[in-house]
Amino acid sequence: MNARASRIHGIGIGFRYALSRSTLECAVPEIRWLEVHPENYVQRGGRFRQQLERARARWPLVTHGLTMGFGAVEPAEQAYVGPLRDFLREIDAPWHSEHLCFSGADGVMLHDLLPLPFTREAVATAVQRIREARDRLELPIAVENISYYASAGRSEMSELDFLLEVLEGADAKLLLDVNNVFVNSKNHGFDPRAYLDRMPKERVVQIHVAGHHVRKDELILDTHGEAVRQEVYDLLEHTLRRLGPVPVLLERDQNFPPFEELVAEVKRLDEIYVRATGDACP
Amino acid sequence: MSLIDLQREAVELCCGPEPSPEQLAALGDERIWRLYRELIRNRLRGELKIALPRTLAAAGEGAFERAFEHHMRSDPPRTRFFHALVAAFVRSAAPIFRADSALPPYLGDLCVYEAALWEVSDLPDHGAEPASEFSFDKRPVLSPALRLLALRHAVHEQPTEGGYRQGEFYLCVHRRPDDRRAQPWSLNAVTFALMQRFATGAPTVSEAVQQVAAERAIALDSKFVDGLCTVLADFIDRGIILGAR
Repeated sequence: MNARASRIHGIGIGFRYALSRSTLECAVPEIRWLEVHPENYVQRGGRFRQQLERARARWPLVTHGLTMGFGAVEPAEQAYVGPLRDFLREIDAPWHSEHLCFSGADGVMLHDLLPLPFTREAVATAVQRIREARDRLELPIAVENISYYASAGRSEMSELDFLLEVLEGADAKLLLDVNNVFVNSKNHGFDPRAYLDRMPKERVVQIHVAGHHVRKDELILDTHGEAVRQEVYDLLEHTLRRLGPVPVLLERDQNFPPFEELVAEVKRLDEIYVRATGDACP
Repeated sequence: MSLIDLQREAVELCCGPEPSPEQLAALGDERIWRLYRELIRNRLRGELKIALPRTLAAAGEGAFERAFEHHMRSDPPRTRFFHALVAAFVRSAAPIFRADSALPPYLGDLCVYEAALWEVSDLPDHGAEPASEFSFDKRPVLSPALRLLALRHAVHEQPTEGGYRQGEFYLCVHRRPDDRRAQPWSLNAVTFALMQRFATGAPTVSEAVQQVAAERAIALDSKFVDGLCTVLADFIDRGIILGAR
């Protein structure tokens, strides 16, 4: 990895406009970096840009894309990739992450993360898209494992094997979403610790944790709109003890609580991080 | 099913009419794929309702939903920028609103105006091309953070008991660099025509003025020129004209 990656350690939070004022005004040393969605800033001005500039002055930033799902059959258009590359350079991003999913077809954008079929064709497509992204953005690429509520079409392999084949084939980094592993383990019936223990240590550059919603029919939705649950904290600690000091991001994207509650979650994550890794993040 | 066929089926499921059980089953678990359709449409619809509250109130839930349905079926979102969904929806919805005599006559103008406010609030302050000092002999460089609207209802004003004033209204919806929100600025027909020429980026300031004056049989006398200079100075002061190139 590059030298910029060394600035990203400990706990970070998602920089969301609804939280931006509180974030910028807080004095919480445990928040060591921020994550931004580039689609909110590329070719955009006004208040969003102003807040971003203020954030950059205080924290290093990482980017997490929402629309370049690596399962897309067509490469992303240069009209977006060019400005995205410029943005990544501008904010000195150490890597760029996107999801292992698809978000539309034939130019239609659904603005959601839909599951790919766990097939050889989908592996080949994702590998090609990831390699293209790395070449065009000139940065390491991290792939995030998504939560999925049903498999798509007919599967030729497990989701775990699908993910591992994509990472190996593309020689990609991994943004390991621990909450997504938990959500999938409950929705599809597997052992989350066994899954996490198969994650290739050398590829994991970042971890996500978030809250989820349990419906009355017991289906769990990855909403990023609730507090992180104890089971996810436990899985995080298990993961960090195995992987060592990998930066951890708290995702909260809706249903925002008072900022003090998010700060409390950050501090709890920091305690787990220090306890599990021995990295006190000076 | 190939990967592209599966993805196209998913798009049709989410954008098209209520899916059949067979359509859902082709993708997998019927219950879950119906849930995906619901989640995606709710998110898109939710953004539109946040951006267009006055339009929603004036149209009512039923008409707004019909416009959303039409948008998803005939011209679904093609932007990867979530904030740009509103402009795409309004391009589809405004003609529908205007054509429906059961809806308020100002509704098409209202949605166009609300969408402009939403869009302009976040447009960049400067374009890619640098601007030098303003000159009549050069092409004017406009701020990207503006939209020009020609409306038939004064939806930028407070409504009266009978609704909005009717007539010809020309607006420049603009955001100054230091402001958070876009504001409307009323123009007269001549100034609007001039701004439209400027926005094409083609003629110099002098050429644009001569073209507009010729089209409207306006004499380029000292009174006109004095008024023009006052307007242009105002444009520059407001940050609407950034300079020239």
